[in-house]
Amino acid sequence: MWRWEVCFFYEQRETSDMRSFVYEQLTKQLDDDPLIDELGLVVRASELLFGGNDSKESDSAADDGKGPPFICREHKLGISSWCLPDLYRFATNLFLSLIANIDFKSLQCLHNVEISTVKEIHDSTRIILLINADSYRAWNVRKFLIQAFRLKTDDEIRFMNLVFSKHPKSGEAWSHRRWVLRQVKDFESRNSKQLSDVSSQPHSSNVDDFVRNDHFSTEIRICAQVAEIYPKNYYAWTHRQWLVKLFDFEELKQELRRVSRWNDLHVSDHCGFHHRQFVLLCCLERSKLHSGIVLKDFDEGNSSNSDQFHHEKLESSEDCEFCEIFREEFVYLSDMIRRYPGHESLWCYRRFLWSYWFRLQIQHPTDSDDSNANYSPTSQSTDSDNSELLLKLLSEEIEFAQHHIEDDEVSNFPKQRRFATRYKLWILHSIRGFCSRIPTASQFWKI
Amino acid sequence: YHVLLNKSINMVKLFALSVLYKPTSDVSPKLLKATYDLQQFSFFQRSSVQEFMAFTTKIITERCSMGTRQSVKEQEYMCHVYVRADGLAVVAVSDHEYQYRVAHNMLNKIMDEFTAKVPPHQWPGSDETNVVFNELPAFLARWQNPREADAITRVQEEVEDTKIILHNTIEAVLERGEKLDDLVNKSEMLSIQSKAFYKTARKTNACCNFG
Repeated sequence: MWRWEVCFFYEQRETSDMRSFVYEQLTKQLDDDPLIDELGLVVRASELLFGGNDSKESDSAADDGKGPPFICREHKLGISSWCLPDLYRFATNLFLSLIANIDFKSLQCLHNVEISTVKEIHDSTRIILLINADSYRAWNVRKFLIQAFRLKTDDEIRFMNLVFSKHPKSGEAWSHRRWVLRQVKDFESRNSKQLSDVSSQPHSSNVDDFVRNDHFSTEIRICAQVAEIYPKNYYAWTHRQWLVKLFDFEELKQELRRVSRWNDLHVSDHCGFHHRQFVLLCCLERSKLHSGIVLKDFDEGNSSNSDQFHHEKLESSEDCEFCEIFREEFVYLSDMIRRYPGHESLWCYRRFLWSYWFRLQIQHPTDSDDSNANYSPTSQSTDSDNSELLLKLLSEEIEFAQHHIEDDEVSNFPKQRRFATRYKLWILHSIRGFCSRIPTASQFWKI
Repeated sequence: YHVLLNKSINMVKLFALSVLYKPTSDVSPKLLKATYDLQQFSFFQRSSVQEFMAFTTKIITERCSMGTRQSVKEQEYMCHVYVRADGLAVVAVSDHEYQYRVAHNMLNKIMDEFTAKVPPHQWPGSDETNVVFNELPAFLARWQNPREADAITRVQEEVEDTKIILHNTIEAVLERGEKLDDLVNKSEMLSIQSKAFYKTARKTNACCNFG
């Protein structure tokens, strides 16, 4: 149901009166409606009020055809562009005059300031930041307000959600958000827990519990929404990664599932796949396999063969699970490549996936046909067994690339072929050093 | 508890579906039914965005020959249109990642469904106000994610690629000498807010991005 919110009529006033009048009305609107969650700029607010093409009606109702300075509907605030410069100047001047006498050296600086002044500081910074989210001075003063308990962290988070609806790429705002989150109790305890105990007790794997852990789920949701508003939003994705670092293994798996929904609908978005990569690497870190992966290129053939083919028994269930996750990633990605031909992001992601998978197999070979992930090779496997397995992986992958090079029935075929060809060349190049030690690998260079 | 952002994470790639009727090439197409999903846009932009999508739908249908299929790219959006020989036309507006072959499959399905529910003899006398066809929103929801749509139908094989004409810009379908700016200015479908919005967007070369 539509609710008709405040409808404000602009009356002819002296300029300076008008500025303070608009400021007061807007402040009152924000105070009266704490549920406002979206901010927009409008050109002709009058049209949105009266609807459609009644341009004649709206002209007569407003002075100079400007219309009201703002409108509010269904908790969405729309500010008219004409009133912004004056509003901003007024709020800034007010703010500067209020803080002129306060010495911001100590945390107690605000304790002696009157409550009405503190409220004015709060209100003026609010207006400033809604218009210019990069004003770090305003954000910093608000930090003092929070530390003096004059402003609640929850309210600040809500305010930032509102700011993000209009300024999704403000670095200052995102940085402030992280500061505020660190002040929140359960964030802090989580962070310190993570730091002190690497193989920590797993969080409850109960999905409901995780969802109920409000702050995290809200934060992830905000990141996804903001990235939707403005794609390739470096700040939103970085913030999400900052959060993901605090997750445990179960939560990481959930995050992977969640980001799949994004990837499905934003196939060509490299950011989404880069985030996927990040989550997988976090999973890797959590498992003990991390220590075993040799990250340097095989081209630098300076270690002896036996070092590189040192086998390790898969120990914890997390390790096996991780291999399983990796395998599923391949299935998922291959399906995406088939379904959405000609998207570079998919092929780039495959490079990452394959290079890690290959190295993983060298350290901890698992038979890909064995659905039971508890397979652990005995220390008696020979080097040649291992290289057989690796050659098999290699040839499968090259076959995959070749299939897409030749499948000319799909739409976007020229691009698909180009990406698949480059991928094939890349594989051959990257494992060149490894293959030179195995005579039977020379067959690949005949393709 | 702090208040969460209102919209759920509902990532939209299909924005609009419309069914129109254009009995002959020289007649202006008549809108029979339309549905929109504009949650992705900020609240105050939605009415303008909707107007523009309706406007673009009409123009593209006007300039699409009978019995042909087109997919026209315009900035970050794509319009997919099929005008059948009998005059029924279906148009979808999506973002440019949405595969055009999947879109045309969907258009076929909508066309069949509409013809079954609203028989051809009714088309000349119908318009938006009296057509009874409530299935469009369901189509829009179901086809958002091509992966799910795939379960319904074998997507890649149905519509032949060669039958779909692709255009990189809407200007490509306009008559010689016609400019999009002029059409926008002259249009009665667009409010002053929308026209101002269009001018700003054109200047900054960012469609539907304000300020």
